This record gives sequence, structure tokens and C-alpha cells, in this order.
Amino acid sequence: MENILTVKDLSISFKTEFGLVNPVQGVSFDVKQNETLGIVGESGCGKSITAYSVIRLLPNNAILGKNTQICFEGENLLNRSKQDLAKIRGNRISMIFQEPMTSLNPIYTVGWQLAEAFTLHREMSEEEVKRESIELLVKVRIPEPEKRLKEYPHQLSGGMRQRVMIAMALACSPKLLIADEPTTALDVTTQAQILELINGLKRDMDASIIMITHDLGVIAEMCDRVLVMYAGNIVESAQVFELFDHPRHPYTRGLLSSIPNVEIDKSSQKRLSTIKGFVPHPANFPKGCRFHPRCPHAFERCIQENPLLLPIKGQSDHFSRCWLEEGTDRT
Amino acid sequence: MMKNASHMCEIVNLSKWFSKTTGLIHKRTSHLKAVDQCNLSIKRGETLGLVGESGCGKTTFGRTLVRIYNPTEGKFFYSPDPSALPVDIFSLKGQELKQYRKKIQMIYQDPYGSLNPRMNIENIIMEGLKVHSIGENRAEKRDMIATVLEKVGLRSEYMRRYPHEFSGGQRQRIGIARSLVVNPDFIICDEPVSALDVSVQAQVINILEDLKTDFNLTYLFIAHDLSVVKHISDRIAVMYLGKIIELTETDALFNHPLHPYSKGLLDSIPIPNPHKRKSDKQLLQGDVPSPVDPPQACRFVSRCPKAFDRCHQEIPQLKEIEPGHEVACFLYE
Repeated sequence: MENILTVKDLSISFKTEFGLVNPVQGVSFDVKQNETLGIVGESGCGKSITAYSVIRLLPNNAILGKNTQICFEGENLLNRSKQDLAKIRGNRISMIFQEPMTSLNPIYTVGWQLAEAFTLHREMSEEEVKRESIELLVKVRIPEPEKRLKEYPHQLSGGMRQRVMIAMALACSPKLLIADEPTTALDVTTQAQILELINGLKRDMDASIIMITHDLGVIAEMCDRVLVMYAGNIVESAQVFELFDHPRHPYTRGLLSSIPNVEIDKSSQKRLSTIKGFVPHPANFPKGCRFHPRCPHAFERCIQENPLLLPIKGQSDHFSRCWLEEGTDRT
Repeated sequence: MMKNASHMCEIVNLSKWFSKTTGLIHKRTSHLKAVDQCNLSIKRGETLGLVGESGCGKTTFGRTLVRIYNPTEGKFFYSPDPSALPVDIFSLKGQELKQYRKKIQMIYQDPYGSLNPRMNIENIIMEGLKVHSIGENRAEKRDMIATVLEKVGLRSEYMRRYPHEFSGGQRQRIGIARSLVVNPDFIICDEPVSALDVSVQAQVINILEDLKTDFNLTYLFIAHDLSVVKHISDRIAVMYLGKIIELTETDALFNHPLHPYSKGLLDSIPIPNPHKRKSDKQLLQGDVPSPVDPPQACRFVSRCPKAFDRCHQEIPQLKEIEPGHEVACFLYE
């Protein structure tokens, strides 16, 4: 399968009052056509900012690394001007944000905001815009679409607002959809509806999705391939079944075993296993392997050197950033 | 009054309505029925999980029990030990109420908003001791604080520090220490782990479980994360729009839920196992309706796949269908 997006050696740093902070370092990955790539990690691991950098939605004080390359459909986005990028955003690459409450403009109607998505990128008459807007709202299963077009965001429920956000993102049939925690602010029954909707739309649309989340349940439900991030690094990447069946990195293992397993009866559940310590702040990531202060297997070398993303023996598409992988066979 | 000596709390007909008056000339009062005629008993030493989606009234329920809100209606009988006569907490005032306040404590959801940033940890935890005049002098109080901090896995040297110096998980431990220091019997945990990262969440859950055994505590555990609730609770009550609609043992609820809402809720949990992907499952459709002036009908009727005539006309009551399994649904009558 062809790669639609290739990110090479992405490093992002910020000039702050505490000096140069480096929340993402040496991140490389690609997104294949029609693939849903999941990026999972805890707060401050750099997952959102990694995805935002693809369409350069970064604050002004952000500096990209010298060797960073971001290629979308074969062209390097980093060479493009602001105007060019504005043409790509919302058109060929679009985004669904986490907070449906704050990412819609409260003073414009749903119809106005949907129309904006069309008219920015395409020349269309008013009737065409209206017809296509209604079509979109039907697609994201909003009942009474004509009435909704005249309503304001505050008149909609959280789930409905997220559907409107999705409709806006789909307006120009993008090739790549970046979804940043699209269901975190929603209730569990609404979350299930939205995830099902995104999965269904993807099947019809021939697009790729980058799904950013902290919820391993959402990853298991939605993704084909997964990147696990910790403290600004990718620590493991694999196909979704491989990752859940044979997790390799101590962090991934720890994460998976610290979630209570809802499939086991309460009466036979054991005490939860934990990862000691807490998630480091981007301003003071530890030296060496960034996970070593919390890792149960850390040894001398982990304190000195940050490991490379090493391939797992016998697996073509499974990598783990851990010195334990060097010269070991699969256990 | 108290049906059973093993019960620590018996909540009878609890309602909490928030009223709003609109209109200048034609005044009209509407009621937001956050909690509407709920009955619940909590056994001594158990963890009772209270689950539901946002806006279902679970937080209001917990807050009313500790009298942060005054109840619109209802009684809350509380008996700290089996021999004691149950007391209606809602009828108490002043000094009488105060002695029960230290017995019933609360842990809050937001570890950032619930600690005063201008006070150091020692003073934050000492407030409870001062209010309830526990401990002879400052040195003794400080000893008690050091002990309780170690109980929740924090070093006693941290006493001089301020909340901003701690991570989310550590702050939540401080919140737990604050409620624990006055030696309560019953703790209401309002979403104690939902603001925490996954790897830290497990640490706090384990601490809560350890403390429960060490101090013989009883928990009302309010949360929306069903896998966490399943792990920690002995029994679970499901709330929907101000009503408790199902109440039973944890495994009974997860293995055969009776109420259509409970079924839908359990089916929508994303399971961290890609082999168990949902394919064509019957998902609950629609959103939670507004709790303002709800109709005289089953609260779930607008989303229920099995609703029939009667559901539109009457409000179903919580009834015991199987031993220890209560449900409010006309399907089982």
C-alpha cells in the first residue's frame, strides 16, 4: 500500500522562560492509504502536537528540527508557504478537535459554519452549498438537518456538536483526517455512536485517519496500526492485533496491565498492577531511556543512552524502543 | 426505619431539584430534577458503585448526602455501628450535624481545583483537625498528618510544600489524606480517578482499596468509567436522568443486565482487545434528554428500543426481580 503521509525525524522545541523545551524528539512514521493509525499515550507525551505539526497548527514559538521532513502525497509540506498550507487544511487534510464545545463558533449558525468549509476551498452557488450541507448532515446522521442548519451550537447536545465537527471535516472529502481525542469529552454511549460513525464514513470515503487518544479501548476498537508514545518518543509501533497480543515495550505492557479488565468477573479480579512514579513533564525528561526511572527492567545502559526504535526479531512491522530487544529472541 | 442491621446508610425518597423562575409578569417556575425520589441502602463495609452518564445526577446525589446541597425531599438514615440507633442526617443542624460531618467524608474529582493553592499541605490537611478539635496541640496534629500522608504513599517531608509542586496523582492522594485524617466511616468518592493518567489511575485505585481494608471504610464510589467501577465495587447502582434504574451485585450486572439502558451502557464500553471489536452491535441511539420538567413517564422511554404504551404513561419503580437484583422497568412486571 502507498504511503499518503511520511513524517521523518520530527522534533519540536519551544522557546520558553525555562529555556528550550523539547516535547517531541525523533518521531518518524507513515500513514498508508485507507489506514487508521492510532497514536496513544498519556498527557504530555507529545501525541497531539505531533499530529498538529503535520498541518503546522503550532504556536509561533515552536521550532521544528533541522532534519524534519513531512511529506503529504509526495510533496514536502515544510517548503510550502502559509497560503499554500491554508489551501490544504480543511481541504485535503482536515481535523476533528477534542472539544466540540469550544471548537465551534458560538455566534454563527451551524449552516454558516458548514458553508464556510465549502466556500473556502470550492466555488459553489448558495443552493449548492445548502444542498451539500444537508447531505453532509444526513451522512453524519443528524436528524432534521434542515432545521439544524439554522441552529446555533449551544442548541445542540455534545454528541450532535461532534457530529457537526465531523461534517465540517468531511466537507471537502479529505484524503487524511486527523482526529484528536474526538470522543474524550463525550459520554460512553455517545462515544460508541461517534466511533461507529467514523468507522462507517471511513469505509465509504477512501481516506486515511490519524486517531489520537489516551484510551486503549478506543485504539482496539478503531485502529489498524498503533504508535505508542511516551515522553516525546515513539516507544513502540505495531499492527493493532500484534500490539495487544504481544506487547514488547515495558511501558506498553505496564499500561495494558494497569487498566482493570472489564472482561473478567469482579470476583476473580486481582489487585491492579501499576507503573511506579508519574509521567515526566516535557521540561525535564530524564536522560537515557526516558522510561528508565519507572521501568522494572532498567539496567545500567538504560540510564546512559536512549535506545533506538529496534525491530522485533521475526516481525517485519513491530518496533520497540528498548535495549532489551537487542539480541533477544521473542519470548 | 432501618430494615437491616447490616445497613450503614438507608437513603429514602431522596430528591434534589434545582428551581429556576422565568418571566417577569407571567412567572413560571421550572424544576431541574437532578435527583428524583431515589432509594438506596448501603451495607456496612461495602463499596457501592454509582454509575451513569454526565447529567444523570450522580454527583448531585453524593453532594446532597454530605449536605453540600440541602435535599428537596427525603431522609438519610445513618448508623455508624450496628448497635447505634440510625439518625436522619438531613434533620440535623449545627453541633449535632457537625459530629456526623467527620464520619462522612468526600473525595473530589478535580485534584487541581479541590486544593487551595495558597495553603501548604500541612494546613490543608490540618483544617479538618482544627474544625473538629482533634489532637491536643499542633505537634500532635502534625504527627497525625505525617501518619496519614504515609498511609497514602506520600513522604511526610512534603508537608511544607504547596499543591502546585505535585502531580495530579499526588494531589489526589493529598485529597484522600485530607478526608482520612478525621477518621471517617463512610467516604463518598466522586470520580476520584477520572482526571488521572491511566498509569497513575491504578496506583490511586490500589490505595483506595488498601485504605478500605485498613480502616474498615465504606465507600460510595461515583464514576462513569465502567471498567474501574467493576473493579472496585461490590454492588452497582445505575442512574439515568435523576433515577436509579438498576441495582445489583457487580457480576450480576455485568453478566446479565436487566434494564435496557444498562444493557446499552455496558455494550458501549470500548474493550481494549481488538479481537472483541463491536460488529453490528445494537448501540443506544440518541442523547440524554433534558432533566428540566421531565414527563410523567419512564425517563428512558425516548431512547428505549423496547418501550411500549405503559412506559409513556407511568414511572416505573425500583423492584426486586431476582434476589438482590432490583430494576425499574415495566418489562419485568
